[in-house]
Parts: sequence; structure tokens; C-alpha cells
Amino acid sequence: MFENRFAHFLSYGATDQRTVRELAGDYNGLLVPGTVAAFQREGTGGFVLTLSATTEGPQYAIDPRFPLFQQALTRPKRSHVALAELLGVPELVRPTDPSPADFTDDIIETVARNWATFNGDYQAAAGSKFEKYARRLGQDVRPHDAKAPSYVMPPYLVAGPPPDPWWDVSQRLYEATSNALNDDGRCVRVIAARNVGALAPLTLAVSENRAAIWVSGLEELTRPASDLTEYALAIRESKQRNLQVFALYGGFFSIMLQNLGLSGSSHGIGYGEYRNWIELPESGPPPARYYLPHLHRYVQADEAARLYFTDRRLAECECAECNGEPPVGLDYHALMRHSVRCRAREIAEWRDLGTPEMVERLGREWAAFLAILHGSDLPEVAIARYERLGSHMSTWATALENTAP
Amino acid sequence: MTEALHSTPTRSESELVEPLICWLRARRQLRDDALLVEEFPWHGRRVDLALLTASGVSSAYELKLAHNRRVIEQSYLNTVSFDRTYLVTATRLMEPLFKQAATLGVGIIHVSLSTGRVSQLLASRRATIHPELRRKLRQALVRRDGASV
Repeated sequence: MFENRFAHFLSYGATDQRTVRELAGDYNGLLVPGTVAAFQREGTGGFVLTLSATTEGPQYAIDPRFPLFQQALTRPKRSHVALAELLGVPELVRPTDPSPADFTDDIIETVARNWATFNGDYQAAAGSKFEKYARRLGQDVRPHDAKAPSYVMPPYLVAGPPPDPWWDVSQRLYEATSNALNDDGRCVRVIAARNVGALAPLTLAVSENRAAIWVSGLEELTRPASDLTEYALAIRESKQRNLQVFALYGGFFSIMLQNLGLSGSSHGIGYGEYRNWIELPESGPPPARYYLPHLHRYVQADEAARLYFTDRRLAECECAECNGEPPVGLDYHALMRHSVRCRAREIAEWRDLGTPEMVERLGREWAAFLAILHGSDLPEVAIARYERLGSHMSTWATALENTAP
Repeated sequence: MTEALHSTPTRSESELVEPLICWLRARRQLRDDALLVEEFPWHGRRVDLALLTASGVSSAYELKLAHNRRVIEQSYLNTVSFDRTYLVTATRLMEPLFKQAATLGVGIIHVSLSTGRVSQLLASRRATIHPELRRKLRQALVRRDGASV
């Protein structure tokens, strides 16, 4: 998260194993949701640990996803229950909203101790599944080569600016977990902000020199420029105070924050560039979409096909998956690999640009796209649709411009 | 009068399905060997009614009682993958929307909810489909054939 020039992490999901395995080396690390790690303990452990045992093994950490228990869970999933049980407090799953006062010292101690133990013992999590996943990996890896989590993220809660009592609970969880780990240097605090305005004050309230950040619901594609500027400035100010921050969720906009001080970001494979802290009753990955590199966003695959067949310059991609062919040829896994390859390429291509160059390049890319669009034989209503799909490009440019001192 | 109003159930798009299917059968556009899938999941959205004939011609039908503007755009997306695309509506389209549908190649079928009469107001323009998309669509339709009639 903090060692690379810009750390590219992927959020792990069981359906992503193939992509994660095949692209090892094209990203820096994995974030494993605590719910998945708890519910599919041996399977997830087997996959993650065998991968970690390879020479090019990515870093990994387990995200406790603790804000789950900050809300009523009227229809809890089995993974919610499994995580609460792993933490030693099954009553964390409850049908009513908890209050900060419900998180007693006893509960905090129990959660912290169990989370520290789970992370500390994680190298044994694969159990009998290690061999199975080693075979799938096709490499001669041994259990004793499996690595411990690169970082331990203590349970955290989503909070507003101090003195929000939820921040106080979050602080106590951090301290208790850090103590339970004997402060072995792997602890990374998560600053989970209820909204973008809460981020800067929360970063001011910590004394460490690195942290993971998450602004609930910060959807880069739809937020106004002012929100994105505020987010960027909070990151820059953290850096100026010697606090390195890593974004738990981020899309292309997060990449453009690297020279303002963001040390890396994580995203789901094929989706998951932002997250709301309120759990949806039904969730799961959306249907596979195509990452349109020209607009730095996902679009429906047939939409991408429409653009490609209108003028291939609108949707052509030269990554190893697409090879200039139309987007319709990609199957599910190829779509996923394409998205990760695109993001890796974006990180590499944009990392040496200063903010003014990024603003200029965004403008140039968008202008080129529009010129092709308007020169095409697409009907007006379709052009208007694609203009809407790319409207974030100028929003992002404005947001970045407004970070100028 | 009041009682009659209260007992009138809320109209929904599903009321368009039966007259449409009867009409398609009568025109022999829907035969027993065709696949017909309701609420067909396709690229992150749902096509209200998707039809694949035995000879491999695909049609998408988006059903809407009124307020047709957005659904024309959705229908337009279907023209990437389906040979023919229709908006099936219970209201008469205003002239600008009608023209827009014509420009986009989207056909319009009108269903009268009071008489059950169905009429095609605008023919759908047959789209050119990439062979790979055609193959994927067929595969997906066959997989979802549980709802075939």
C-alpha cells in the first residue's frame, strides 16, 4: 500500500480467482473482504496463501468491513454472521441500529483480540485446501512459504468529524487491536469518513504516518467537481503533514491524485470503484461490463460495441485481451482481465504527469472523443447519450484545476 | 362511480404482453418453435420481451404504458444486438418521439388496453449484428428459455 510509487490493489472476490491468478505481477496487492475471509475461510485462505507463497506473490491485507455492524442487519448474509462469529461477538448482527454506547470496552477488547489472532494465524487458514490451490496455481509452493498479511487493518467504523462518538469507537478499536498485535508495525488505520467533508478533520485527528482512507459513497463519475477537489485537497494536506494515505476504493480519478500524495488505491475487478457504508439488502457483482479506456469508465458491453462499430477509434483497445478486436469478442474473464490491464496501464502512463499536464490530457482526450463522435453518422440522441457518459471528464479536469494553490 | 374507480387495478406493462403475443402469433411472427423470454437479462439491463425465431432472427420488445422518451433510448441500445427492436406502448407517441424512433430504427407497436387491438405504427429497421454478438445473444436466450411460451 505504501511501498510502491502508486500501489494498485484489487479487492478480492471468489469469482475473481482466475483473473487474480493470471494477472499476478500486473498489480501490487489484494484486499480481501473480512466477510469473504471469514465465510469461505479455507478456500479464500488457500487461494490467497498459495499466491503469497510465489516469488511474485502480491501483498495482501484483510479488510475487516466492520461498518457492517454499525447498522441494522435485518436480512444478514451468512458471511455477515461468519464474520461476527469470528470476531467472537455474534450479537454484532442485530435487526436494529446499534448506538456507539453498545460498543462496550468488553466488546471492543474481544473484537480486537480475535481480529489480531485471525490475522496473526492467517498463514494456517488454508488448512487442507493449500494443496488444492497450489495445484491450480501450477507452481511448486509450500505452506511454509505462505506469507502473513502484509498489513493488519483494525476494525473501524464510518464517522463524521470528531467529536462524532463513532470516531471514538473507531479509535478504541484501533488502539485495542494495535495493542493485541504488540504493535508489530503492520497496523494500518482505516479512516472511514461519512462524507467528503469529514475526511480532512478525521485525518487531522490521527498521529500515525500512514492510513487507509475511505469516503463513503464517493462515486467519482457522478460527484460534483467541488467534492472531488475537497477530497484531493484533504489528501494533499495529509501528505504535507507527513501522513501517507491509500484509498480503499478508487477509480481513475484516484490515479490522478498520486502526485498530490495518494500512495495507491484499490478497486474491485470489473466494478467496485466506490462503496456506500450502508449495506444493500441484495448485493453482488453487476453483470460484466467493458472498461472503456477512452472515457476511463465502465460501459455496457453492447454500448462499447456500438461505439466500436461506429468508429473503432471510440472504443479500440490494444491491451493483450482486446488486441484491437471489437469488445464483443471478450468473454467474462477476458473482460475482467481487460479492466485490470487498463488500470495498470493508466497508472503507468499517468504517473509522471503533473497536475496541469493531467488536466490538459483529460481535456485533449475528451475533445478527441467528441470530435470523432460528432463526425460520425450516429443519430443526435445517441450522441447526446455518449456525451452524458463522458461528462465526468470535464468535471475531473475542473476538480483537478481547482486544487491549484 | 367512486367504487368502480377504486376497484380498478393499477395498470402495468405486463398487460401489454398478452395482446402482443396473440398479435405476434396471428402474424406468424411467433411460432411454437421460437424462444420467447420475458425480462431477459442482457448486458446489465432487462429486455422486457426477447424473441428468437427458429430461423435465428431476434427481436426485442420494450413495453411501456406511457412516458416513452427513455424507453426509446433503451430500445436503441437493443439495436446493437437484436435484428429488430420495438417499443410496445399503450399511448400514441408525439410527433418528435415518433421521428426519433424512426431515426433510430426502433419500431413502434401500439396496444389499445380498452379494445385489445394491436397495430404496428412504425416498422423496425433490421440491424446489422456482429456475428459474435449474435452468437452470444442466442446462447443467452437458449440458457434463459425457461420462460418460453
